[in-house]
Amino acid sequence: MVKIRVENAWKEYKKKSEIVQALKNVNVEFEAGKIYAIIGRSGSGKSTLLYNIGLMDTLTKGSIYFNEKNVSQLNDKEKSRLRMKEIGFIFQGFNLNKNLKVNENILLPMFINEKYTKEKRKEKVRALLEMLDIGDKANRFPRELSGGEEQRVAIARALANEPEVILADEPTGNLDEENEKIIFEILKKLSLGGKCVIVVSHNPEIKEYADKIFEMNNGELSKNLY
Amino acid sequence: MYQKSIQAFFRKKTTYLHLAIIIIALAISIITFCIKDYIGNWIELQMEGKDYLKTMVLNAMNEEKQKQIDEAAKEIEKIKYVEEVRKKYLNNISEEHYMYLVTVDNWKHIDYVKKQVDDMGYILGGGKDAFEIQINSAQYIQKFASFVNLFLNILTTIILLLFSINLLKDEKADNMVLKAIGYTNGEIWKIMLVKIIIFVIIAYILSQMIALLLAPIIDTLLFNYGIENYKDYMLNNWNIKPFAYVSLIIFTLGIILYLQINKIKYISDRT
Repeated sequence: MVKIRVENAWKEYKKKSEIVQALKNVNVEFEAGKIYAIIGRSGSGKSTLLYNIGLMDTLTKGSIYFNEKNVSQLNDKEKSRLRMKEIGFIFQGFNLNKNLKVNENILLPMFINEKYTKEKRKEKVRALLEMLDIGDKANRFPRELSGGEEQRVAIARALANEPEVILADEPTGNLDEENEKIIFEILKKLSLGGKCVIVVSHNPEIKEYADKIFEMNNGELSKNLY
Repeated sequence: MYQKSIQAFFRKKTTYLHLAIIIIALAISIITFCIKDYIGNWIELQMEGKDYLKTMVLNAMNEEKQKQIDEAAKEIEKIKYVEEVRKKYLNNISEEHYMYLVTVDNWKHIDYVKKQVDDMGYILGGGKDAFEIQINSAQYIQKFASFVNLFLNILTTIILLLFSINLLKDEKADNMVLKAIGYTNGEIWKIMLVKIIIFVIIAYILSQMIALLLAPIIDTLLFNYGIENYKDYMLNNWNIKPFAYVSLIIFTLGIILYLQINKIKYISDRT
């Protein structure tokens, strides 16, 4: 059961000649089996926090612990391998490779995971497509899918290596109401299945699904709102 | 690891557009390089094979000047590249009439020696003058080919650089996803580099084929200037220099890509 702890996290970056403080002394913990929502205005630092938890960026100061192991000082290879095994990303714009078919997009993370043989990879893709109810879209290109279907493919890709943590950056930002609901229900189901799901969202609907809600304001994280 | 990314790369229409542009530019570059190289060899062959072209004549118009050219001959002997200065009597006119035959070590130095003698106030006749017209037109074609070759080399390099920058921009989101799903910077770099290497090798092979297919036409054009056997040269000589040039480009692009890919990280506009 994964446990993530962010300790005294500070993040500064340069925007033109100005120094922006995106995170200011953030302290927070995330546990398996729960869905966390981080809400806040644009530019409040919520995506910065998410991508730092996902080891896609480096903190200016502070530490991130995965199961009590400090992972913020790992090198690129170690961070990459941790991302591969433990973290699944879902993006607002889906970020599917437009020139790869649905099944090929889902296969992509499995190529660097030694635990999958060629046969197991195929089996896993089939199972994920069935689970997300897009089994008949395997050989389609992303441009042939609706927004909701594309996001489900992106979720399948995020789940390909069976990660413990799912990080979703505005997963319903480009979707209509009906698809929003479908995606949030999938994320809820994943958390009930034991995964730690962290969602950054503007969408007020998230409150219905989240176990804990945090608000980011000017780089500072509020206490649990609910 | 590479298969799917390369497959996606070759499913893009823009890849083929870039490929067509690079093939044309590389083909012209290879053809002009070969013309330049072949004419250079051809001129050398023409001149090397005729030793008498290396010998020039210094003579006096009248007896009064005879003494002056005796002095000049001594000076000419000291000029760099002059191999021999030999006195030759013109028996059929008179024992008193003679000239000097100035031989240089290599036909390439004829112009230099002529210039030195000219500065002394004398004129050396003969040498490669007889071949001048033919050689001049060959040299003109060679210079033109050199210019086009240089221009095309610069153009090809710029196109390849723009292509790589474009590729990086185009695949920024894809590379970010690769990083998010666990690929290291090094693995992403390898994927990009393999794509570019395959791209450039395909472009190089196809442009070489175009250069070979066009050889008979160029052969006919050069034949009009008295330059023969270009086609045989193209078929019998696998010129390594264009390949070395392409390899150098790939190497440079590899370094640029490496530096760029190490910068990949999530940069949020929305935070």
